[in-house]
Amino acid sequence: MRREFLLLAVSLFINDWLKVHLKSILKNPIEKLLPKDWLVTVYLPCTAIKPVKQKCSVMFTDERAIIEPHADLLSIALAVTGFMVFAALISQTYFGYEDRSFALENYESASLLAETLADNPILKTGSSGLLSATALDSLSDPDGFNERERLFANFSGNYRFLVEIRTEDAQCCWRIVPDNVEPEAFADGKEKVAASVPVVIELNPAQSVPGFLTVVIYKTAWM
Amino acid sequence: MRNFAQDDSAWADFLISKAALILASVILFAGIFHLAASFKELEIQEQLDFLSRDFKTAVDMIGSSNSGSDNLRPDNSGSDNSDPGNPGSNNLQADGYYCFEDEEIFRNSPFMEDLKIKVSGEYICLETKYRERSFRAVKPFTFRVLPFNESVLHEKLSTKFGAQGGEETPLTADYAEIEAFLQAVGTDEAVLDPNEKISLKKELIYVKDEEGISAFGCVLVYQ
Repeated sequence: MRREFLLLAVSLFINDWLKVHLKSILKNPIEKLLPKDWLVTVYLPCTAIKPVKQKCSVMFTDERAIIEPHADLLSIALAVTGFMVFAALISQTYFGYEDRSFALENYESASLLAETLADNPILKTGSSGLLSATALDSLSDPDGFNERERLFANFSGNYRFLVEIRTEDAQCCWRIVPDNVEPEAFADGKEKVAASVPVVIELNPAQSVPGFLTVVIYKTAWM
Repeated sequence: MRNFAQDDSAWADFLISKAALILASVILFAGIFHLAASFKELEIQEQLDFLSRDFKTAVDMIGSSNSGSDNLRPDNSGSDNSDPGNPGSNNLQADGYYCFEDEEIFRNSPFMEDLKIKVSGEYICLETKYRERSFRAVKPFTFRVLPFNESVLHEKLSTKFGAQGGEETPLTADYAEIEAFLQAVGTDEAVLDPNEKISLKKELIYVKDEEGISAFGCVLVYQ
């Protein structure tokens, strides 16, 4: 409570002091009123507006035509500036497209791969045509080298892609990675594009659940 | 020198401002014309990219098809639908054709008379020249592609593995060896004529191992 009264008293004192000395501040140089080595900023709104108004009125009534010979220079400078802004916008748009071109160009391939793999008989059970959990287990198993070789034999080695199959409730997930690709090709930080198709997975003869088959294509040096 | 200093006609001012104006105009118009020329070059590159992407999509569609009914563009000539050495496999093949002349972009392009098409087992490459500058578009195939017809394929497989790879005469080597062989024979580029139809045909290569007979597909691209 005492501190608040003290602060109130100090602020009232500063207010009264400014009222008394403001006229002398505006009339005299600021350096004379302050001790040496003090630096302050003082706003003088009343004195700042008047000269600008005067300058504007003088400029509009000035008929000496000082700028007239250089009007063409000013206009060409404006045109060049506008052209440069236009060129910069065009190049920015182009480079933006280039940055996103990997996803734009390869999404179609990822989608085609996902549809083709979802129809592949290696992933399916014999009679029902559903994806077989047993086949997925063997394909995602480290020992399932032969199965994976057969699965990826249809595709060229141009695309580095892996296949993920998961149930809709995310309880089960299988990840099939080709063996002839080094693991660094599927690093998390790499640019990639993915496409999914809905599938039905037969967990056992009595239970089938909906899920998704996803193909993730990773960017390589030649794409 | 005194006359020069006392000259108030401002001729130097006039000359400098006009020289700056001429210089700025030259730079501006050079930039505009260069940009227009760049747009033309970009347009040619985009046309090449579109055609190569369209051809790649056609090949990938054939590669992803599972039966003859999935043809992209059914070949009415009927010349390539029969395989004398493998009559039982016709229902598992897909074929069609691609013709660059059917594409409006190709017909309206300035490089219609001077387009070089190269196809290998890994990519399609379109090359052309416009105003002494070379343009090139390369797209990788998603599926396994070979740049020759089925008789050449059967001949090469017979020479290497002693069997044609048909349903009746499956190969007995392992997958890795067959894939390495197909990759090696597919590296040679085939130069195709853009004014003639390009046949696209999916051929199944059968492999017999301890688990039974399995097959994988590859797309044959030839004229």
